[in-house]
Amino acid sequence: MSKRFSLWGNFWRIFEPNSSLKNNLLDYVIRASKDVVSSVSLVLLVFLRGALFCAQEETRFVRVAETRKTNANNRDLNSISSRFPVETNPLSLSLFSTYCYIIRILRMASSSEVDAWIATLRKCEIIDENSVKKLCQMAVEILVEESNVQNISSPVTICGDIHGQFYDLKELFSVGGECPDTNYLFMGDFVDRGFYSVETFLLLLALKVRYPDRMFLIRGNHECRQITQVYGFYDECLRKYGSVNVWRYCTDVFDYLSLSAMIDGRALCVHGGLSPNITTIDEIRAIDRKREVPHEGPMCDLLWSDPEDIKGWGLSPRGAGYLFGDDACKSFNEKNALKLICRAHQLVMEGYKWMFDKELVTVWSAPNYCYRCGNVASLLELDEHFTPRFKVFEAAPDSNRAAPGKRTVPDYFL
Amino acid sequence: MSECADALQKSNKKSVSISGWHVHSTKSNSIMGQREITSVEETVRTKHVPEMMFNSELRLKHAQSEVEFTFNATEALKEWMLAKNEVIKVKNSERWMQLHLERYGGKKTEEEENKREEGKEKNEETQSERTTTVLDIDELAKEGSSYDWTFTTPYRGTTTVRGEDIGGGEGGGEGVNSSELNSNTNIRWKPTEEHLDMALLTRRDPIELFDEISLYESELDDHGVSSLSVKIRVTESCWFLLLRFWLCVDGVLIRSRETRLCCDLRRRRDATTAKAGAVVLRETRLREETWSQLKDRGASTDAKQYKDAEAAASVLLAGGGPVRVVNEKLEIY
Repeated sequence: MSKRFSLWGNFWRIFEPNSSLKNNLLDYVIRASKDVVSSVSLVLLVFLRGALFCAQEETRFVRVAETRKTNANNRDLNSISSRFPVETNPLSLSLFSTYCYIIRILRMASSSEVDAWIATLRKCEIIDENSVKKLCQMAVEILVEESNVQNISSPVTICGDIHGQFYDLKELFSVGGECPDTNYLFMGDFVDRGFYSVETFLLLLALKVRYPDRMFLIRGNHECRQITQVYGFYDECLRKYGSVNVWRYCTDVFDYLSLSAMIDGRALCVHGGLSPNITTIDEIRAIDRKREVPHEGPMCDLLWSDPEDIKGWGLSPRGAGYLFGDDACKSFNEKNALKLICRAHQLVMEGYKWMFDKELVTVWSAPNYCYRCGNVASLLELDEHFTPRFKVFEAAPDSNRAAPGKRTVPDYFL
Repeated sequence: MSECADALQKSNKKSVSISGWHVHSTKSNSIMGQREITSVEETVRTKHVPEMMFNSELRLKHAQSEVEFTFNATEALKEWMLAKNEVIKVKNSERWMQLHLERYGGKKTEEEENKREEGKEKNEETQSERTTTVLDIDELAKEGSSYDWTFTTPYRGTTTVRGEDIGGGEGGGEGVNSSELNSNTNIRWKPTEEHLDMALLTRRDPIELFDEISLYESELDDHGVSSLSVKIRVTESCWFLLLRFWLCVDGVLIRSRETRLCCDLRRRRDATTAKAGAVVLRETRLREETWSQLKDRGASTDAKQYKDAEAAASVLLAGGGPVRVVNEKLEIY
């Protein structure tokens, strides 16, 4: 806003003979027009949003009625969602498309800036502190709107832990397709342990801001203040920026990251696993997630728990955290009409691991983990027909990375 | 290790023969896959093994006497299983347990029950929304099965004479006791006053063979680190190896077990006897300190300082602290 006032204040100085502002006349005109466009569209937006809400409510009402009718005849819930697309009301459809259009125009203004950040980050170079701050603010605006259970429709490519392995993330994109062409869901643990947590997280975040409906990020157990202080992200920020501000901005974003994602209502994706405190999906939706990851409770369990060959629920031998067995997983899936639980969190040499009669899968996307495990990584592609397909890939070759991996040098150790 | 055959193809091998000793190191480039993990689980008889295990091995063989030292993950985990260590709890365990009981009930002493009632009144709305399942903590613990998840092993390598295990000696305490072994060889690990020859170890002779091998490692589900690795250096004057177990449970304790083996290759030549024997010295350094003990003696309690065995070793070496040292000797003739 202050820019606009100063614009009018400075306007007459254009006619001064030696004004440098004269050269920037075009620039000013563009800026002024942008301001006008954004003010007008803001008013329109508020109006449309209200209208859209009413329309949506109406559609929902119609839908529920229809569903109830069909439900009596047909008990298969999965077929209902495909028979009735979300928006059937023509008024709401047209309103919705106008709304999207305006949103797109508004985003155009900032997208060139975001594009520049993406281009820098893709080269594995950091962006300056102010840009990080701005990017994080933009990200929070998007993330705060998201539900604890994000609805995603297939096709989508699901990825597990990345852990700051930037060059391997680039390898992932070259195997799975670049971001706006492929829909991505990353199941957390973007930072810590690898050399490039900053670049990795900021690139994913910039892609989220640029393509919010193509890139989905959910929170992992490493996306919190306490863990990042021990396992590398904090130190990396301090080393690369000379201050902890960037770590602060990023960890503030972590608090807004969603906890899970639902794909076509049939697959639930979380970082860790299930919680004994959660029996329905609505219980995940009810969590107040905008906070540091707590030490216990349902939010903690979603990010920390592990599947194990046991009956029902178990206690981790470490004295904190749950383990869940075959029957706990199956009864949860049955109750919520789910076919699959996708999770990450545990290293698997083969890149992925099925468990519980293919009702649960672990996806791991950090090849040669910690630059010494020699494991392969994988992506899980779910197509329109919900057919899972794994793409397995290896670490980026040394010629593609800036820093070579760790080598053992002979030494006179004692 | 026949089951390791397929993985060994993806590994780096090094070997050297010097003064009657054959040294072979096999370093795997990748952690074990599902098939190999299953086979280790069967050999060690457990369902819980570290997530990063390497099919690597170090062997040192004295050709004439057929005395052989072997270092690998499977043998180390076997000794871990036998050791029956006390189960450690992570830092926030107590608080977690308390909150678990508040949420689900379980152990019902009167006092706790009263506390729960109070808690319920405070959060009437949230509590009533929650599931009413009672998850008994003891039942849960049974399912989780308590085992030493830190993988602390008393392993100091396997010593065999003509293929027969002669036991770990007495210093480690937990290992197989050599005196109970009924075997036909007199070659034994015996306590000694002799120390490692530092003058010999600090000599900068050209290195004939060097290798650093990780046997297993675990991130303890982001609660710290546990690792077992071995380093070897062979020069014309000696061979020297360091087997190191390192454990750090963030905010709880650190544990270090270092085993150094050294054989002075000149010693045999200098000896007046015609027989080509050898003497191997073994030094074991055991160290264990809790976070509060570290704090009390003014040592660092920043988990970052102890992030891996190498970094921690230098921090601890500089900082002092209690260490138990055991010196042993194996005379080969």
